[in-house]
Amino acid sequence: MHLRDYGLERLNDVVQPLNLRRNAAGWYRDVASTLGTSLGLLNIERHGAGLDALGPAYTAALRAQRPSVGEAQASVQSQVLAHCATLESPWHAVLDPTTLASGACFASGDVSERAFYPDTAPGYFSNGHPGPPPRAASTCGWTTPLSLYLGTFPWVYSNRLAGAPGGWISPSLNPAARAMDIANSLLRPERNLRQDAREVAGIAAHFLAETNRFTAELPSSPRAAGDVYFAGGLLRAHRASLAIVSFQGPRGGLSAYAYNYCVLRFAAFFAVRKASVIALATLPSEARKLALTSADEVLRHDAERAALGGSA
Amino acid sequence: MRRSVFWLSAAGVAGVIGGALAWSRRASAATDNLPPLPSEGVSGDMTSNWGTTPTDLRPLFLQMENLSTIAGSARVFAIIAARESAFVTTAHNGNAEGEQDERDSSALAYKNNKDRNPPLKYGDDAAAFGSGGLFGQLAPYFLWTGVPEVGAKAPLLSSPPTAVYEPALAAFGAVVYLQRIVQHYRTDDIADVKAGWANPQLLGSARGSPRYNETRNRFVGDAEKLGISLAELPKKLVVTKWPGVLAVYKSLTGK
Repeated sequence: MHLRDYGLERLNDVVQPLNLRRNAAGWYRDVASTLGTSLGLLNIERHGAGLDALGPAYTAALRAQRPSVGEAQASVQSQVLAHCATLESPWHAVLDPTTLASGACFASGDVSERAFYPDTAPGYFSNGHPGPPPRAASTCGWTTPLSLYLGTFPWVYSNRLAGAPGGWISPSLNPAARAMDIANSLLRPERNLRQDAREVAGIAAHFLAETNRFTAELPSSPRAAGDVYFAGGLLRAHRASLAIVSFQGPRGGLSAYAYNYCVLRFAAFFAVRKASVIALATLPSEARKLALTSADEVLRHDAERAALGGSA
Repeated sequence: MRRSVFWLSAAGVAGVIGGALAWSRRASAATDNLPPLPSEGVSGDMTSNWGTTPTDLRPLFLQMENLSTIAGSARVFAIIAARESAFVTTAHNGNAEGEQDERDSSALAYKNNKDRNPPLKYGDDAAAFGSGGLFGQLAPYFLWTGVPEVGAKAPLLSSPPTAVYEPALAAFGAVVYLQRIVQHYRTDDIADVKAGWANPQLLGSARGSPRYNETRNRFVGDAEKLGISLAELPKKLVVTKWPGVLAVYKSLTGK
C-alpha cells in the first residue's frame, strides 16, 4: 500500500513508517507526543504511555480551565458519542439527529437546544453536508444532519479550526475522553482496517487542497527568529510561538496547531493502515477477513497479495 | 507594529518573511546559534493558573522564573508579554507611522544615557527603533542590559536592536530588568512591579500619581483577561538568590 494509492503523497514525510513487530511502542509514543504538542499539551507521558496518555492529558488540561458545557449537554454528547463508537467508519459520523434517543438535543431551562454545532457549510474537511434533512421534526431545530469529524477530535467541525477546540467536558461528565478514545481507536490495527479509508482519504485530500494556499507560500526553512515555515509536512515556528499562528482564508480561520494535528492524524491513520496490511498474517482472523472483504479496493488488493505472500 | 501579522492571510505570509529578512542581514554574534525555545525539560507547573498563555511559551517563562529566583515571576512575565507583544516574539512598536511616540522614547533614552553607559555599536539604530520583542523593551535599555552590574562586559552592546526579536535575548533583558526593579525599588505588591516596569519613576517620586494607578489597574485587568489569578501568586516578588547577569545570559543563550 502506498499513499499515492489514495492520492496523498504529501503525507509521506509526516510520520515515520510503523512496523507493528519492531517499533510499535516507540512509534505510538512519538505520534502521541507530537499530537499532544499540537493540542498544547506538555509532558503527556505523565498521564500514561503512547496514545493512552492523550485522553487523560487533554482532559486534565480542560479541567484546569472552566468546564465549557453543562451536565445536560455533556450527557447527550456522551450518549451520541457512544453511538458513534459503534459505527463501522466513525472517522466522519453523519447522523440523522432525530433517529437518536436524545435527538441530539438537551434541555436548557425551558428551551431545547442542540448538543452539537450544526456543521454543514463548506469547510476545511468537505464541501458541506446540507442534507438530507432529518426524517422527523427536531425539538431543538435540527434541519441538517449531525456531522462530526471524530478522527481529528477535538477538531470535529469543518468550519471551526481557528483557535483552541471546544471543551466537551462538564463538572462530572467527560465526553471529550470518549471522543478521544474514538479518534485513538482508529490508530489501532483492527479498528483501522474496519474504517473505510477512502472516506478518510477524501477528507484528507480536501483538507490539503484547502490549506495549500497557506502552506505553499511558506519557506521550507527559517531565515530568522520568528519565521513561520513549512517542513516535513508540518508548520513550524523558528524560535517563536507556533501556538499563536493562525491563517485566514475563504473557509475561515485555521490555527497552525489545528493544521498540524489534523495532518498528523491523517498520516498516522495511513501509517497504521499500511503496517496492518504488512502484518496481516499476525492479526486476528477477524481483521484478515475484514481486509479481504473490504469495499476499499486498495485494502482488498493488498490483503489478497499479502495472503499470497507478496509485498503490500 | 508587526505583531498583527500573525493572523495570516495567504497574501500576508510573504509579509512575514520579508520583514524577517530585513533584519536578518544585520544579525550579530549575540543572535548566532541561539537555542530553540525551551520545552518540556524545564521544571515547574505548566498547567495551573496560566490562563490562555500559549503553551509553547510557558517553559520559557518558567525558565526565566527559575533563573531569576523570583517565585511567581513566570506568570508575571506572561502577563507583561500579553500586553506588550500579544506573545509575538517579533513584535515591533515603532515601525508604524502612528508610533512616533515609541521612536521618541527610544531616542530620548539613548540621548539621555549614552554618555554614562558603554557605547552601543548600533546606537543610532537603537535610538530610532522604538521598542519590541516579547516584552516590549525599549531598544537602548535592552542593549544596555547588565551594564550596572558588569559594565563593558554587558553581552548585548554589539548587537543591533533587532536582537530583541530573539526570545532568549528578550528573556535575558526581562529577567535582569525585573530583578533590578524588585531589588532596587520599593515594590509593595505585584502590581507595583508592573508600574516600575513601565517607568521606575512611578515607584519613586511619581508613586500615587494618576499614571501610577492607571498602570497598576491595567496590569490587574491584563491578568484577568489572560486568565491568571494574581491571588494565587506570592503577594510580593522577592529575589531569593540572584545568580548574576552573566550566569543568566549563559543559561538562556548557551554563551
